[in-house]
Amino acid sequence: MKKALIYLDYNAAMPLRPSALKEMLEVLSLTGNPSSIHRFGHTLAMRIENARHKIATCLNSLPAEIIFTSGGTEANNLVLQSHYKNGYDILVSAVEHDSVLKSIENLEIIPVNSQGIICLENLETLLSNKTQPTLISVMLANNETGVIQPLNEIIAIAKRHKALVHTDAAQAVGRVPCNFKDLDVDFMTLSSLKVGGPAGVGALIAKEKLPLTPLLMGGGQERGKRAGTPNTAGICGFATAIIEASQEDWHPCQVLRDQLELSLQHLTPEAYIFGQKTSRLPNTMCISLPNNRSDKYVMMYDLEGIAISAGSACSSGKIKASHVLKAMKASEDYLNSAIRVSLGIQTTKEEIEAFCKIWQDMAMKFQSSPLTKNQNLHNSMIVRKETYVSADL
Amino acid sequence: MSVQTFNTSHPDMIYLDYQATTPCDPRVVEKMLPYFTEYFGNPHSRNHQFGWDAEAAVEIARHQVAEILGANPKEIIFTSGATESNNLALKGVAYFNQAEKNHIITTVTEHKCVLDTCRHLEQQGFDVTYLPVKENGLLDLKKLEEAITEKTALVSIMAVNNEIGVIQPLQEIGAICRKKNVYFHTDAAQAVGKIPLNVKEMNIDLLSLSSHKLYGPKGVGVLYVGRKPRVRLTSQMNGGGQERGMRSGTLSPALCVGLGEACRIAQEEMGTENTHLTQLNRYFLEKIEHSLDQVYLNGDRLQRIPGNLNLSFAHVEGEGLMMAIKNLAVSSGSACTSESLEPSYVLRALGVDEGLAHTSLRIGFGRFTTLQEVDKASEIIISAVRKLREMSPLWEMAQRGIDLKTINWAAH
Repeated sequence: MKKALIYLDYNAAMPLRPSALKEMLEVLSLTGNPSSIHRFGHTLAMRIENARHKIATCLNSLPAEIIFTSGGTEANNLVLQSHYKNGYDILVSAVEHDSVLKSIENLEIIPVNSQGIICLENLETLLSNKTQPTLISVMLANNETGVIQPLNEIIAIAKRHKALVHTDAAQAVGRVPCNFKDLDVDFMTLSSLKVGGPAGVGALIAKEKLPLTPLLMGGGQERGKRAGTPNTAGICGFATAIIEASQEDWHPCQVLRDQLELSLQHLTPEAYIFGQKTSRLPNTMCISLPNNRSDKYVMMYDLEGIAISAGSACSSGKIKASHVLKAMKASEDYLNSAIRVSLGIQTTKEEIEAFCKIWQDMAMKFQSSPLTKNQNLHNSMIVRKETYVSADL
Repeated sequence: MSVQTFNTSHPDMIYLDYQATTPCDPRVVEKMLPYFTEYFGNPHSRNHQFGWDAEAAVEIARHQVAEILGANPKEIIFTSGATESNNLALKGVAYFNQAEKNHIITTVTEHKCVLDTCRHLEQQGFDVTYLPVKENGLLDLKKLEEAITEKTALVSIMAVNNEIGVIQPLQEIGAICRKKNVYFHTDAAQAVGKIPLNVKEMNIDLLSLSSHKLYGPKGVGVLYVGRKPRVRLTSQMNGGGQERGMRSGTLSPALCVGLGEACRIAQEEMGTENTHLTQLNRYFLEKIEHSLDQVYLNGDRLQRIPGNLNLSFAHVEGEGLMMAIKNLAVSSGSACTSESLEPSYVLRALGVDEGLAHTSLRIGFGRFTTLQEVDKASEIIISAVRKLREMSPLWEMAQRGIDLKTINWAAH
């Protein structure tokens, strides 16, 4: 990599934890197919079962409820496609990740309010009109804004209507408490990459009694729910990473993030932070300085050696307006100016200061241009005093 | 060859199960390392250096994979492994062409993930023809030609069988498919790096590849999807639209780099490696056949990869044999189904009788197998079979010239 770079795109990818790497290298040096019955196979099968056990302990689920997949996308597709095929109606929030929104063709969207929280009344109405069995998929925390959904309330409503609930917890795990059993969801998606484990691994936690039609068919691995030779090293690295992640204290990171937000809003009062009035992940900030195009920002930051993003990292290179912010009814000016800054636990005060410095320089540069016209319009929106509250999970 | 670190966990055992999985080559691990640490970016982050570095690595790997297949890098779709690739090829082509064509042709000796996917498609209303194979495990081309109708969308025939190692006549199958204008998919998990492949010359439209069968890491594979003629398919994992929309999900640069390097090494060393394996294979087979009677090689004697032998030993008891050679890591069939005691469906498809199918061993040699190991393994097998036969009344009867098939066993 060229010069000392500052990485503020932790929601896209986390560096692999050294403990996970150590575990993976050890497993990579072992030969064997975990399905083989001889000792080589058995050794690796044991490693996988250990990993399964660790993750189960970490999230308070049963080991048998964990189905390893190739990542969050596969886990989301597995649960949604399976229920769709089996005749369920599927309800998802408008701010879900594309791997939920695009997993099947016919799904109904639950709208969100301006803070990105799903409209509970709307959900209730949608469910009351259902005659079919229904699966609701609502993410625990949003990848772009960090907004945390009131899952407890959603689940209470779902239970009343006997609907199943799936939550994509890819961004939430390791950053806010996640407890599968207490939460009482039926399905939960995990991604290794987002907890500092290796890419190419994830899991679906699925209540054992609930049937699933596999997405990948074949050798009958993962109790017939996901065929294919498991990514043994990846799974072991994932387990190590998730344990470490769940023991981390994110409070300092949140303080840093809050300071960053205060500084930016001080520098540019017209800047708007999405979901700021509700509980969010401790590390995520989605900010918009109206009429300044996001791509320009991201590019300038890259030139200064700071990696941020203009939304989620997937698909084509083109930056297009975020469906998440659209769903939060952000106006056009704000929509095209949003950037996402996501901190890691290792992010330092100096790095945040470097970020602010560039922000200030850019704001000065733009001041001469007529871009900051509606100065006072949004001042009212950014009154903010609350601190981060854990998600009431 | 670099240090062999893979066998340290069981130094007393000999690994002869290279069709189940291959050790990850230390050279591959070395190439992967920087992508675990220094270059940890998300390859789909398109607006900063971290993402570009990761993306560049993935693209180099894509070239390396394309190279060994004679394909264009644009035709390479990374997946989580051959199971996913096979699922995607079969379901993807079937669903996309559903409106006009609803027929698929495959063989009875395919890998379980192809057969399972086909069975699923049958439940969804597709017609599937499962072609038989000849006694040597090879496809009868005439039967294939006869089976193709105007409703046929896809022919899926594996390149090298995972249990018996026979090589199907890909060139001929490709020619027939092209002539009849149907897509040709081949599951080449056991073939890549072991036999020369060229998707253009062989008229292959789709090809599945697995990294951990060619000394790469587990958790990654490829589906080659040809562009001339253009193959279109319905994706099975949707989301971020990665891999040209055919397969969503964040790619692992480390895994892709590992697979790329594995392909590079395989292509470079295929010649010398096959010479080495042929030597081992001949040595082993000659020694076994010289020392033991009534040993049967399953599958064609010539049209096979040198890294595999599937042998049946008459008049020994299968489980007893496995127990007696427990220091050899071999299998009695494919790894996926190894927990089941059913005899292999592949051997049964060859017409191997049930008794012999029960006493078959799949012996896989590979890059790190030494002549000493092969020698020791053959000794172990020979003495085990001899011992078991000494104890076997069936063997005694057979020696006395009694045809066991004529005996009318009393029911208990």
